[in-house]
Amino acid sequence: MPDGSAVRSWPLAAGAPRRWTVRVLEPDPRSVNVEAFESLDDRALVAECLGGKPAAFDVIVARHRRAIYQVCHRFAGNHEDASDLSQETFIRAWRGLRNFKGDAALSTWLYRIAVNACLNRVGTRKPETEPIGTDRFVDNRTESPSDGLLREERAVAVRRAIAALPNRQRAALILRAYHDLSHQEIADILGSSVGAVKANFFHALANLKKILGSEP
Amino acid sequence: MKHLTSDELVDLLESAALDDTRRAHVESCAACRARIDALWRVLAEAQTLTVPEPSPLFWDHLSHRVREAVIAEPQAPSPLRWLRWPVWVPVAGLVGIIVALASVVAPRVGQIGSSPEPGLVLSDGAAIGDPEPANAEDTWALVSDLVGPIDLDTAREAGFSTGPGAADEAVLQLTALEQEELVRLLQQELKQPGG
Repeated sequence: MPDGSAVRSWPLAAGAPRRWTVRVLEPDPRSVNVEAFESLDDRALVAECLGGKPAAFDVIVARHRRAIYQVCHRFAGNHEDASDLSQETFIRAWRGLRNFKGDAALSTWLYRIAVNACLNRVGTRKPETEPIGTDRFVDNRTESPSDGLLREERAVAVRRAIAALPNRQRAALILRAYHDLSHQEIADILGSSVGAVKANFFHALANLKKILGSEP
Repeated sequence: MKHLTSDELVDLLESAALDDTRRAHVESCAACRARIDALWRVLAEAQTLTVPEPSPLFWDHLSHRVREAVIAEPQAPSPLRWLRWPVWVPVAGLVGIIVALASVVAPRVGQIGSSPEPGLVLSDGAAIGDPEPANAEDTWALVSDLVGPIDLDTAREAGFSTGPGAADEAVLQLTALEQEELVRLLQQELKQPGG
């Protein structure tokens, strides 16, 4: 069946015309209407997934995909890798759903998976940055073309500087500066202490200052 | 007075409260103020970077890809997920090999370690051809019943033939004592009239 439903057919009782069969469409648990889960909170969605209703995972993905994509993009520096890493994050989350204890928010747990995936991937090669002109949503109607070019060049320099930071410093900076996570949440994600997170954040800013200060 | 630590600088950067004495130090210390200003400028500049918004179609596409991958996974994530075919097939194969080896080696060990009576007795006291275990006797009786009426030509026509070198290989698998006994039996057969 194209909709994934199971069909069960059997002839009617004696007396009914023989050519008739009763067809009962049994909904496939995988094709349950996603809307039924949208009102549930994250913990309830996880419980539904573990109870054999993977459609609940669609809601989890829809709820967190933007944040996960953005954190992946901050690490990877380009759309293709960010897209792959986001997908990998959710698939890893699905596989490890039983390991989610609910001590922290699901978003924190997903961030942890995403950061690990990013550090594994990005750590093995030089991070790329998108070419100039990808900041499509910056309001530049009042700036001159030369100012715009300078701003974009500076943005590329800042991206490159962030990409050059050591992994822990970069992770602390990204999670704190762009995702507004608390030091405690970042510590949970990185598996370190609040003090270490603060130190990494401080050194990330100090290193950025040093790198950008040496830019022409 | 001591300058601000990196922890305190981060706290101040994030508008967290410092105690009165530390705040008083910042107000009077140009170096600390310069440091905090520099950090603030770097952070503000970094925060202007935005992630380019992907195509509006991307989000549904991402969800679709994840859904497809999840459907391809087992019905529900299981703690025994690691026990999938790439794991259990080799394990099952290994178990099969061990069972096969055990079935070949165990009877041989049983024969060598069993009572010498009434089988053939070797110089070191080991017995060969001793059908002592009742199971072995039954098995041989069954095999004998099955193959007894079949002559060599019939067996060959039925496909029960050995490959080239199979006999050599079988002999090589025998222990030195077994090979010695085999030679003795063959010589005995050859000495018989018509042998």
